Amino acid sequence: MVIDALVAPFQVLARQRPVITTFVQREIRTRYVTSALGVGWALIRPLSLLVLYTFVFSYVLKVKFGGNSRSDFAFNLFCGLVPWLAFSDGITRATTAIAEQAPLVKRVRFPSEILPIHQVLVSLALESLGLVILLAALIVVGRAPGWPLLTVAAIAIPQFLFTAGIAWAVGALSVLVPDTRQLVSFGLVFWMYATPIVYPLEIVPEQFRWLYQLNPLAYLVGAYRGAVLHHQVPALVPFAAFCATSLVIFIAGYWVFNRLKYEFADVL
Amino acid sequence: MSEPVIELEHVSKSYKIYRNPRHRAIEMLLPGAPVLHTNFPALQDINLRVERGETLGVVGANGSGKSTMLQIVAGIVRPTSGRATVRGRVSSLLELGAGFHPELTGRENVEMFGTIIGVPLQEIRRRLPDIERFAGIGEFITQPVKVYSSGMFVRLAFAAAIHVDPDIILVDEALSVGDAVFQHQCLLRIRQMQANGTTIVCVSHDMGLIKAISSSVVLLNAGRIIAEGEAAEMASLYFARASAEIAKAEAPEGPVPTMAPESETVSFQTDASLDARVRVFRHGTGAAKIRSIELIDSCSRPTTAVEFNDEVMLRVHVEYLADVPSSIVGFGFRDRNGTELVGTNTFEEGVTLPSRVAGSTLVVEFRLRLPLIPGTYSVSSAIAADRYTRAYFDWIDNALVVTVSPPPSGKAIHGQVWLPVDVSVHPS
Repeated sequence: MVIDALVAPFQVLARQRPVITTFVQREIRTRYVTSALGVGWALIRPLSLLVLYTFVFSYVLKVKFGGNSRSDFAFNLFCGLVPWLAFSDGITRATTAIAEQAPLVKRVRFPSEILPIHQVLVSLALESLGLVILLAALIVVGRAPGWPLLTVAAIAIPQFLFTAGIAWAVGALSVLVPDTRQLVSFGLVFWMYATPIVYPLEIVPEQFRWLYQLNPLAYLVGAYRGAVLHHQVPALVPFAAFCATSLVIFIAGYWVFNRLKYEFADVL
Repeated sequence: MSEPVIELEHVSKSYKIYRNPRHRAIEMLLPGAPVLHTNFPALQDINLRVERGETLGVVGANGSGKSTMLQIVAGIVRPTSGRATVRGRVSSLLELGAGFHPELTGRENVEMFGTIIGVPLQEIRRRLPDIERFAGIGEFITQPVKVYSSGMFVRLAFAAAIHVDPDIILVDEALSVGDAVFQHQCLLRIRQMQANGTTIVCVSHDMGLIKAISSSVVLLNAGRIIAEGEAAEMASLYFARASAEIAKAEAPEGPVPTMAPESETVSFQTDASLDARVRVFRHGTGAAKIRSIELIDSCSRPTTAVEFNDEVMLRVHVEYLADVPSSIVGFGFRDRNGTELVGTNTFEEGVTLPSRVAGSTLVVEFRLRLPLIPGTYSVSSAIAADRYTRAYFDWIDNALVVTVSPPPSGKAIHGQVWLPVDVSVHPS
């Protein structure tokens, strides 16, 4: 029983791989196929946020990341923004993923599990574009990252599991309780500012630091910055803790989804 | 005998009805919350076995639970209680083109569809030429489906759904789409699949289709199976129930017209709704009035839907409002274009009607076959003093609208009317 619950979400991913692949491809194609700029939009959003936040937090509020230069702020900001946007976009899309495919869910025997998942994967895939831009910029200014960069691939695995677990839970809940959508978009704003993205963790007063220890996204952003900007391989214990947390969230999220999915056809 | 492909054991399904969406959330999230929903039973204690290669027809009025039953077989809806076992790959035509994306081309959508129902991509690609040929939409296959006409869309979706080698195929009114050519193509394909051992569950109001393809039929009413058996028998039962419903609905007040038990004791009746139905077309002196017209099937039940060449009886109820020494009563069937295809009257058939006084009534029955091509026909009727007069006592058009369904044999009808033919062949 317990073992089943633990392996079931992985089995779903394995069994539905062809469907997931097709849906990811389709989503990427159709999201941009009608717009003139195409996949360019996937870059315009993070880049414009980069400009906006750099102006507000660096020029106006004078937030500093380690070094004093503006470029240092911009690099740190963007390096945090990339994993954050992958996470928050994936979750936001997951809240509408099932309702958007109502005919499939209602009328076809269809593995609705994959609907939140494919949105998470699309967000991760588009994130990697942002990462490419970041790397190009780093090389241009002579700060090419070393081999620890490769650990991003290892970080991305628990990152996916964590995002997927939350996406399953909020995806299923949004179908049955539409208020979930409001709650999620609102909660993500809180979560973003509770994560050291537009400011460094170091300037947070000591008495609040423990809160950041509990925030997996704070770890994620830190790990990205370490691997991309500071030539650091993630430390074993925090990384293991992040993996364990992600795994729990992943399995719990699937459990929630699985319990609620039979109600979808009744509600949609 | 192998295991049944579809097995429903004591399957019930009830939907929770919430007056307010908030109530669902409260019930779901608060473990100790009071019950805030009412149950709507969509299916109750359904027991059913469908063997491999069988074709099951499911008939019943709207809301009788047919679609819910298909959804359960398709695995979309989980029964509230009972057990549903389905063995094999199901392809459902419940919603054609569900999941088709408007921006993708026809071909991409077909590949997508295959993936969704679990067919490997190579197999779908191998099938593509067949699917394209069957859909018959030509070059459009490489265009995004948003530019398709609705007919093209449905044809492609249908073609895809039936070419994935399903073990079980669920059909929900889907065969009524497309033009005549396409419908025939579909029927042929269904027969092919039947021959290959595909199990089919077909929900339809088209009794012609049900009779044509089903090996057995279940009749659903208010979520229960109320009868099951051979197709033709179930179809006439269905029509009988439908006609009874219509009669109830059309004559809300006044006495419900009693059904004539057997031919000898036919009693006069007045159809309260007839006047309103024929008002626009009615003319005549009023010396006699037609009060009711019924079409009676071979089981002595009133009906408005018959099968090609069925033997039926047209019963005309006349009330005389003046003394009329002689009269003749006639009828005609018009097709949708208003062309009168068949018709006759008592005089032509050599029957003399008795002299009647004011206030008396008469019931005239015409027994005939309706060898008409499938379609809808309106019935006219008239009463006059003799065949030469233009001064009808009463003339009504559109007194009844009758649907003729295709012959179950699949025989094609050439022209508007079929006539009995003997064929002899003399080889030299």
